[in-house]
Amino acid sequence: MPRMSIAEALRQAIREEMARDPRVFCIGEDIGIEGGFGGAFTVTLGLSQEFGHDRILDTPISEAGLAGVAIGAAMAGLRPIADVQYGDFLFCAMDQIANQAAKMTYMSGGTVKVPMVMRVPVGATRRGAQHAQSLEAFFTHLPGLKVVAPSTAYDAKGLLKSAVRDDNPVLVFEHKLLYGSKGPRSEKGALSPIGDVPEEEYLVPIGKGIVRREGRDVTIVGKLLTMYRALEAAEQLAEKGIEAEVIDPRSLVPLDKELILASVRKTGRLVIVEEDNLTGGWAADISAIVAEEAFFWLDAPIKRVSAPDTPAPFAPVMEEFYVPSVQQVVEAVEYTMGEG
Amino acid sequence: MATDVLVPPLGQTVDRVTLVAWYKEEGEAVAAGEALFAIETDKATLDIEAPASGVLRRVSAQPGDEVQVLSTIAAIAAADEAVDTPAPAPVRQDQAAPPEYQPEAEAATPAEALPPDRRDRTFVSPRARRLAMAQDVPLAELQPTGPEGAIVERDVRSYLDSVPAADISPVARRMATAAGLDWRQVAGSGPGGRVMRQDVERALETPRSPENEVAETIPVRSIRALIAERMLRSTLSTARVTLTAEADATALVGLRAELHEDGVAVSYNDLLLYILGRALRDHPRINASMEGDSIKVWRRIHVGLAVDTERGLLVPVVRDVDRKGLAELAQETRALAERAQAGQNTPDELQGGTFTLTNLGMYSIDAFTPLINLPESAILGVGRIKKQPVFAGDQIVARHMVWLSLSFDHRLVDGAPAARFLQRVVQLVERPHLMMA
Repeated sequence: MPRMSIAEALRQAIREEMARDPRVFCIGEDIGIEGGFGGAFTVTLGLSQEFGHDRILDTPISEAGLAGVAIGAAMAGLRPIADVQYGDFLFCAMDQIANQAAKMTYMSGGTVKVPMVMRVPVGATRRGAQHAQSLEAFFTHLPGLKVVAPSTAYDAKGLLKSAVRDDNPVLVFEHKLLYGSKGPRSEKGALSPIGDVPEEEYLVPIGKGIVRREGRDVTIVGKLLTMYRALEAAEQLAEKGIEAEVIDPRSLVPLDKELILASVRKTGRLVIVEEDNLTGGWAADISAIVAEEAFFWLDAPIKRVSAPDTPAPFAPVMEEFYVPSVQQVVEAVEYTMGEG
Repeated sequence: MATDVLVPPLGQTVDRVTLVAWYKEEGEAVAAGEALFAIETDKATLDIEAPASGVLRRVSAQPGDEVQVLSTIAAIAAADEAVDTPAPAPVRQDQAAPPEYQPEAEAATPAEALPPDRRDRTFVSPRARRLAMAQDVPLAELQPTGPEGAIVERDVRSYLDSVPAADISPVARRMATAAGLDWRQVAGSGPGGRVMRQDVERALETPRSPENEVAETIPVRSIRALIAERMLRSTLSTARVTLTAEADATALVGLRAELHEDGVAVSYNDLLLYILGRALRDHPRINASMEGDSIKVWRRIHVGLAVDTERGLLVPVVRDVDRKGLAELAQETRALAERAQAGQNTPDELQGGTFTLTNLGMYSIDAFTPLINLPESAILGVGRIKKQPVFAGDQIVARHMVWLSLSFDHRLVDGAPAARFLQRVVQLVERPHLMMA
């Protein structure tokens, strides 16, 4: 079985879907230009040679415009995969996404579908506050969108393919440090979550989370990069005799709530790790769900490990401090165990 | 000037209530008359209003705490005002007296203005509480090891591990259950003291005295617990004497029949309430309570009526019986009794009585010695009305006779005045037209 990085797995998913369905096309900034990187993070590298510039559309730096084109094309029956380089730029296209894409199916009584995929790189990578945000919570808060966040190569391919085939607008959040640690566009500090990716057709269903590591003492929920921080923390905790269960929700909307609740009912403790800012964040929502629906199973206060409520700092040492660390996860778990 | 927030008196016999909830947080502004907290008696939950406007300060009782009636559980003051009166701590069954309240500490840092009993509070995780309740583990005996000194699941588990597990094999359990045997009383011979089949067999072979055979075990809770406590207190703390007198109720029986004919449906209890209202007005010293070292003679006459309900004895109170007409009394009494049967009386309806009427006539009881319903000073027990041969002059005639039993507290009332009161009741039963005089 081939082993791929997440960038390669995403490219393979796009390739398969474009070959399968002539309505599928890509749109974005510098995604197909000759001599370019294949988007900001190499995902579409080489696809313009395979499929031509009619299906790999380069746009100017114009996020509102490219989002509008993608949404309009989707409403008219095509299946666009849009790429915004950095998730932060989605704010430029917020009206298109929040007011048009998310609401169109509801406002039309289901007669208009918006089968658009938006690929959104997130995460702090030493590029300053405007190229660093983790935006998931903004979009999980918007009814009408589906939101996925693959953290492995296998899930990246399987979820992107499911997203292309879904009749709703789907945002695919990808972490910049997970594309791979090699190649021309690898970011400093990147991980290499290279994994087996079957060549044959498979889909990862939207709405299903996964237990990445089983444990009896505490449930740690992490997504994207923080899922890896959680796994590393779990390794360290295991040396101290604390067995952590690590859950990767993979899909944020719809959320596999029952997976998290079942785990908390088992362990009685919950730590949520995310790279977004603390206040009003996605971790707060998970915390509320568990407090509401599994309160009597809790044996300790729920802890959130998030970035502080400031923009991401530019100085590398400060960014290091800003992004939730393995140590912080370990400490949060120890607190819930009464050992903090 | 700070105003103390007191637990209100709820009738003269309720001395502890459970604090259910605060509607305001400490430090929050509150207006006089706004609902401030909720308390629960054995009978009902009710909201208590803020006694003044200002900021809620010095909260010393938590939801779930038992608090003494008339104790101070908070204060309402200006935000910057020093509130330094010691706050009596809530009553806790499982704790020794809490340390003295320290006003200086509070004055210095309002943010840390928690009374000591709250600062020292041990929290229990929901999971641990759940397990402890399921396993009947006393929380007070646990060693907390959780975050912030909370009791967590493992503390409950280690307690359970430390206590020899009462265990029984499934077969033995079935046998014990079928035979109504409490297997926890059986010495186990299995590994770790496990109760085995032969242990149960042996226990069943041992002849048991009849009192061992429990048909049903009923926990003493709620109304039963309240009745038990009050009846015992009445017995232990009053100097009870019962006077009995036989009254000729023929005229009363006739009066009731006539009232019915004229469309006024009244019961004997209604008539007796009416009579008691007039008799008590004539003998105000009976309408009294002992409070500490003084006797309170009540201006108004509120007579409780003992009602047998599924949940136990309840005594709803009919107010101002001396000021109401018979029809009104009848209507009110019926409504109160119906609500008592349905368990829907408000606390107000179950308190504030100054005298009690209890009637066992419908069970063919002739006379009895009722217990005084504290803090009242007397209670009238009514027996059945029975047709009897009676001398009228030298003639034997058939009359409707009834025994009246007056139990009174000799601490407050002497025998002669009590007798005079009973005499007056007898007179009004025998000659009801005198009530019009």
